[in-house]
Amino acid sequence: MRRSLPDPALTAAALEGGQAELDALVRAWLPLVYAWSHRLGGPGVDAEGAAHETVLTMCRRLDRVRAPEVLPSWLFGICRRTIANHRRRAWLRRWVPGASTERAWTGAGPERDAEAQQVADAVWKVLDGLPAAQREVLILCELEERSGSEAAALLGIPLGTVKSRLRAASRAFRAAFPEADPLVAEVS
Amino acid sequence: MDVRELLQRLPEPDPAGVDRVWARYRSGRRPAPRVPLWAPVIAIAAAAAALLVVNARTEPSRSLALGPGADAEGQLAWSQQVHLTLDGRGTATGTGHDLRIDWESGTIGVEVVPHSGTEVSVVTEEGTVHVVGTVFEVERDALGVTTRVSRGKVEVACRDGWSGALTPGERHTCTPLRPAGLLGRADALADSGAPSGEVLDALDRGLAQVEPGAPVGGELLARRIRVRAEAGDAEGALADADRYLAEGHGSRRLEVLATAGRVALGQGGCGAALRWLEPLRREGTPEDRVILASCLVERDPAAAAALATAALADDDGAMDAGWRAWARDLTGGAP
Repeated sequence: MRRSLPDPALTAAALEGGQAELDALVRAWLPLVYAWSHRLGGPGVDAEGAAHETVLTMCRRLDRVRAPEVLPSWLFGICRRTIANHRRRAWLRRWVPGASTERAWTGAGPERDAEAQQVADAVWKVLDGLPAAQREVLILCELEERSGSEAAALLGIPLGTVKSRLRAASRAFRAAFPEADPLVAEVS
Repeated sequence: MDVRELLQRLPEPDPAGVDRVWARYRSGRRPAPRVPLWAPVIAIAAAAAALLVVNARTEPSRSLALGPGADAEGQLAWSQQVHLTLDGRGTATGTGHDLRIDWESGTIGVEVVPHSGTEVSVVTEEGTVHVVGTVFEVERDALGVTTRVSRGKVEVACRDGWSGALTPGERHTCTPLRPAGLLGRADALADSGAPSGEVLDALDRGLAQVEPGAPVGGELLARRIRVRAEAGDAEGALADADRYLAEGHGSRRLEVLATAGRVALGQGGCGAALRWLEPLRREGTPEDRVILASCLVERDPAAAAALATAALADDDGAMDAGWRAWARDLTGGAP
């Protein structure tokens, strides 16, 4: 689950260099940006569209980055705003009966697949109900297994705030789960 | 099962997705803007010029434009007692011991040597920050004007009614006053995931002040429709949609109709939604027309099929696979 952040040297090279260096920076960050778009956006958000928009914004505004070390939190901020816009658009679809969401595929047979999908749907539902700030720390710390300091650097907030948000988010997540889908309790 | 285990039940992102985004990026990339090689030279020259001006002039009062391309940017030693860190735009006026900064946008850091008898005020439309010997930062953005104190004490007087003293570690945001500023605050709060109550507060305050018929009133209403609907207040959202149309705002008419149509559909079904959806028959997006077709399919299958067929024909890729499949179902096999 955990993916290391790309080397800041790539950012330094892109700030100084040309298109090839910029492409290398995009290539290095794209898997992370795509994963954030997928996980923070949820099933209603077009993760590919959001990731594409995020890297285009990064390319357009890279000259505002003053030091390579600040790129991760700066880029996370862009990704967060892009996803917020996509979530807003996706929200409209919630009102539409018949609109589909992505389906997980585990490759373990239809019965197992349906069961996994029910759990995943319930997890998405609970995540979707959390405030964005809590959703972010849960994804970074629990799903991507990043340290508190790493999450604090990405979010641009103090370590203590990450810890308190994580505690609150975990509490809210646990509290919401039984109501989210009783079937999950059976499955787990 | 703990939180981490449950989260790990989420499907992993499709590994091929990264390659598809990469391909889109490669096919449509634009050259990134670069900092021109001469920019640092200009910046250094501007800072040096500003310092020279500060040191050389003997008049009791002087004025400097602050910000990119202005008299001073980055760091500025206004006097031996006052040092400024600039990441935004404004104007500094005064003497070495009495400085007024009219701050327009961005962040300004101010360091004043304590007990030097130097007075500094940072003035914005939303409020005034007044200090005598301290270190603090003022940021003016869409949320308002936020003052953070690192050392010493500052007096803040907001025009929204709040006033008080801030000590190290404390911060306060003076909120915007005008409807357009409150609209920006509402958007910034929504983007940051703030509770809907806070967003609605900014929108309500903006709407309470807006002149009848002003375009910003329509924008505020359009936002409130969305926020109310997201907060589950369908009746409030639909009342706002009625008000939006009654006041004759036009720029977001289609968006308002589409949102109200979906809200009404969720609340009262097709019977309640049709009055919002019907006007979208010609002007709406393909998705709007698919929804309308779904509401017409029982009483007028031929019209529903025609609408769905037209929606599929007009789709420029905005509809995802689920929507297209739904539209195809509604065509009833029509070509």
